Amino acid sequence: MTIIDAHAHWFPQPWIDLLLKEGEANGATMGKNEKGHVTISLKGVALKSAFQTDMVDLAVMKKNMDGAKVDVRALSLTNPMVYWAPPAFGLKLSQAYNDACAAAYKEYKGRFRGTIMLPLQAPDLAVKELERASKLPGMCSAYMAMHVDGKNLHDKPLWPVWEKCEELGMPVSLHPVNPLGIDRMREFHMRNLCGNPYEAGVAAASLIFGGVLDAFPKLEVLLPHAGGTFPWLIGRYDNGVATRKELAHMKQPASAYLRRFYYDTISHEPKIIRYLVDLVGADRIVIGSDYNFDAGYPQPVDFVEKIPGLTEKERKLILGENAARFLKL
Amino acid sequence: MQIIDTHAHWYPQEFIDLLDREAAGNGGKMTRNEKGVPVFSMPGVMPHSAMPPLMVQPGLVLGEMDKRGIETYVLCLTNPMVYWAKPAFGLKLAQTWNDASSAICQKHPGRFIGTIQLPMQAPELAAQELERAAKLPGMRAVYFATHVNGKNLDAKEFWPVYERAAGLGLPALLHPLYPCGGERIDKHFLRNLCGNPYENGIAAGSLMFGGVMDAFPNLEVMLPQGGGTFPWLIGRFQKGMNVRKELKHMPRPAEHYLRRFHYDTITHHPRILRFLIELVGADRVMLGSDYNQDMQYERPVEFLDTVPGLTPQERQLILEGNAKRLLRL
Repeated sequence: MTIIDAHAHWFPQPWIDLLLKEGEANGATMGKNEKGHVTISLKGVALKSAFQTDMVDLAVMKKNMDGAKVDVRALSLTNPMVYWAPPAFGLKLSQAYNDACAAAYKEYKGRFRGTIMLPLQAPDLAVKELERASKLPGMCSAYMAMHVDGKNLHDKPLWPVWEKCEELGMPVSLHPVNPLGIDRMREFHMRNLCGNPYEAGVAAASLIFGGVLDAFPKLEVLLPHAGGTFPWLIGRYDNGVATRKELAHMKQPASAYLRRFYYDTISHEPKIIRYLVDLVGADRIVIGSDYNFDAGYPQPVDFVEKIPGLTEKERKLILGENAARFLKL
Repeated sequence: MQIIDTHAHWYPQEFIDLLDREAAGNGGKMTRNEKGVPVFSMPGVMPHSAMPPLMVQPGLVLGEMDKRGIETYVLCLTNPMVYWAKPAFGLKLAQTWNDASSAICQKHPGRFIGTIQLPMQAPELAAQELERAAKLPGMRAVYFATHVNGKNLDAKEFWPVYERAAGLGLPALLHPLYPCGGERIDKHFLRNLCGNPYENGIAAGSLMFGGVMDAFPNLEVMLPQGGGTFPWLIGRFQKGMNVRKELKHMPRPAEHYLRRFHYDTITHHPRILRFLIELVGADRVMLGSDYNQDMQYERPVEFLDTVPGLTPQERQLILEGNAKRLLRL
């Protein structure tokens, strides 16, 4: 069985070089931190991203992957992604990322697979890049944030992107960037501890209530961080559908969509994954590591061992079979 | 058994009358909707507060309680509460609520329990009103929103109020108010479906990480809506405490704080309530209904009885025992 980590991050050197060359002309502030790592700051964005060596150097990343007992890592571009940039540069950044992914796939003979970054700030450019990048070797998922400049994912301009994903059979992996409610979460790392999972709840609601999942029934979507707040508030969502005029258009309860999503294991509490298995089914859960952030799992496979009451069949599903199905490997 | 509903809303007629007279001079507006129901609003603030007869007239409230098989309501003031007003008017509103609450408790012995509303926008006035209202018959708890005009609950200026409440043996009951999230939660009723539980999570995080729970070990705090997002993200909170410098001050594991709070039953999902009971303990969960709001349980006791594997002991604790202990009845 192939053990597949569906939530791991990478900053390719060519992508960093492009930022260093043209980032400032496009609104970013580039710098270096005390460790000598390149940093990027963006206006209005709380998180300053640093491109640490262990998230750039593929040889380091391969060594880590072997030590983590993972066979395949799907590499994704996390904060700051590319939507902040003017459309042409957003496209250039996306292309640089996607091309680097294809190269990594080839160089490491399939141990790394790429996910497709798209300039969603310009959906027409995004659709074209999706077409192009989907043909590159090793690409296994589109990768998106949970809002585009404050617009939720069901916003009509994005529908051609969803349509193209469904047409190509391309699964979509989501990741929080720039969470909502930031003014109340500036202390105690709550931007991450609360804000990130809060984003998943809004993203799921948007795709369900905004009609995306109904319009594109073959679309498969991965929610990180064990689905964030989404599974646990499903009762509220159902109650809303049952009682509110704003949701009178819904033909099914919200809970009917629980199994339209995949969820990774990053809950940091095994009991939560046990509850998740009960709620959504063991066949919808994939492992993640959040490589290599401090809020991740250095040993994502070992975490699965801690989940109470898993059968051997469920273990295999979670460690690799579900991800193989989701990513069409 | 004295079945106690710890989450029920009421608007005293005197409170409505006071708003009718003086809201306009304080930045608020009172109108009547098409059914003649008083509605309070402020420009640019959602939601509006409708105050229908079922939430005002004691006879009608008692009738509903009898229909639902509830002996006692803990009466809570929901939006707009009082922090929006200028300090002197905020105090007047709080006093009007507190006096009316005590009166209704005395008029209907055993049927109502009062919670103290305080003008937290002016902590010195709040402290003053706490002293006065704590002496009024029937007042058993202090009621706080999850933020005070955008300030999280751990702000140092609120600490004297918490200290005094703990000293008086009064638990703190929280309630979301004007949730953060802006335009992202404007549609699909997300302000309520997501915004409210998100607020509870931020409030719990603030009280926990901000040191309030440790500074006042005798302060009991109740989180509504099943604790919102808080129980489900406890793993993330612990991970944050393990790895972040902004959380290295925390003296105890996250799990400890799960049992520093109390939770109501408003999860809208029987299995999720079961998970909650397993996570926090049956002795920390209390019946709630959210009478008479959009997301209320019309049959809160019957809902509890759908929880898988509910034992008679758990049932008694949740319907009566825990509330009696918390409210020192």
